[in-house]
Amino acid sequence: MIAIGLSLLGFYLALGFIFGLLFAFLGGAKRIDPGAVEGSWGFKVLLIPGCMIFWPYLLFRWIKSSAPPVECSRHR
Amino acid sequence: MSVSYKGIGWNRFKKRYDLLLTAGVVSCLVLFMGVTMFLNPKATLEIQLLRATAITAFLLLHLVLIIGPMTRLDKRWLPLLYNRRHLGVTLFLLALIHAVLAIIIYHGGADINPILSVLVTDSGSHMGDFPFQVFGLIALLILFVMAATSHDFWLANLTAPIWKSLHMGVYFAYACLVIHVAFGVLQTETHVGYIVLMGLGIGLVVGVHLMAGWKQWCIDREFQVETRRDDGFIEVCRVDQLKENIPHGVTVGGERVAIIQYEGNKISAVSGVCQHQNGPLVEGRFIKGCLTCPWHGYQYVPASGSSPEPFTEKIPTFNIRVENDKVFLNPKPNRAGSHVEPALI
Ligand code: HEM
Ligand code: FES
Repeated sequence: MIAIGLSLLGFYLALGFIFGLLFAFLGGAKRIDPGAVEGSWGFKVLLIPGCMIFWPYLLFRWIKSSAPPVECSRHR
Repeated sequence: MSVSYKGIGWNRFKKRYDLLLTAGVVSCLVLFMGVTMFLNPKATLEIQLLRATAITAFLLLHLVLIIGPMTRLDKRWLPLLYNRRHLGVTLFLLALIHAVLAIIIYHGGADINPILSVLVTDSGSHMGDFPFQVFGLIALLILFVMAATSHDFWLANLTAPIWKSLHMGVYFAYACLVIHVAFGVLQTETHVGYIVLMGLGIGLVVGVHLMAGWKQWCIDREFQVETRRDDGFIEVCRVDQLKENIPHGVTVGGERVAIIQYEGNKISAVSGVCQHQNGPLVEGRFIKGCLTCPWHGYQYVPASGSSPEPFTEKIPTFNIRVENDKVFLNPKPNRAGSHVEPALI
């Protein structure tokens, strides 16, 4: 059980890594966030670890080309 | 502030900060390797490095945890807060080195996947049956999530509430690490000195949080105002209590509000909480027509609660009114960034 869980986690992160490369260097980040348009090389590299975790969400946004969510909670 | 993430960029202060951080980390590593060598001459270089990175990371975690409350207690801590994320990322990298070394040394020989071995056997550690390394692994994963999402890109794209909850995970990681250390190394190194040091660390973290919480509670209570009039407005202070260009904090219905008198006779009220990372705008300064957050310098025009062009941050504004030398405020916040005509005195 634990072994399968671990392999799945590894698989998920590996997919995320590949997705991260594409997302950061092939314009995904630019597409969903205007703030990332002028991103430097270092900035793109920094995005990859986070993509490994949140790639399904980013993929969804990339496909829809949607801009960053607007936060509507009144006060935090 | 965010227009382009490049804009936040590097400045001399940040570079000096990182230089000091690196110097501090390197000296800690050297110091602790020396101490290990002295106390335990048989330890191999890997073990020394394993221990030195672990202790440095653990110390750094204490620093990270106390910076927040300490800035509430003493403003001189503010410069440390400015770039706290670099502390977090450094902490993660040190912990990663420690974990990789531990896995190689204690699990490398296992005939199953070494990471699986951490989870199922705790092999190689002669420290009782308690799976203390699992707690190390959990903490490492949390630290990874935080380090990976520390860039402002993630703050914007995951939204502040989610980002903040993720980063609250640091407390959970700390709890896991206390277990990791208490049921790990403290089972073999039973010298009372280690236990006292550990207790002091926990006491420090808990103590400053309680003290800062207490201080905030007292401030909130002192500024608590609750005599609502029929039109919904509440008297919050007298005009002569305001000082030009210095925000005055009040708490209405649990919301912190910053009231500011500026440009001579204008008074505006905005949220007392910064959009960026909830910094205390109430303690900010008024610079070039903007209320400026003490934490990372985000700025807001008082009448509109919006950052000056080209920035896009927005905080809620409040309707405000002056009658008979008293300031009245409607505690219902307006949408973030709504313009409100300043009250005149
Ligand atoms: C996969 C994750 C981890 C594993 C397998 C692991 C393993 C170990 C082992 C085997 C020891 C005992 C070492 C010895 O005394 O020879 C240890 C100690 C320690 N670990 Fe971890 N660890 C992990 C994650 C972490 C993390 C994330 C931290 C965070 C700072 C941490 C902090 C410490 C500390 C402070 C000690 C006591 C230092 C000492 O031995 O003097 N560990 N760990
Ligand atoms: S919290 Fe970062 S600028 Fe206000």
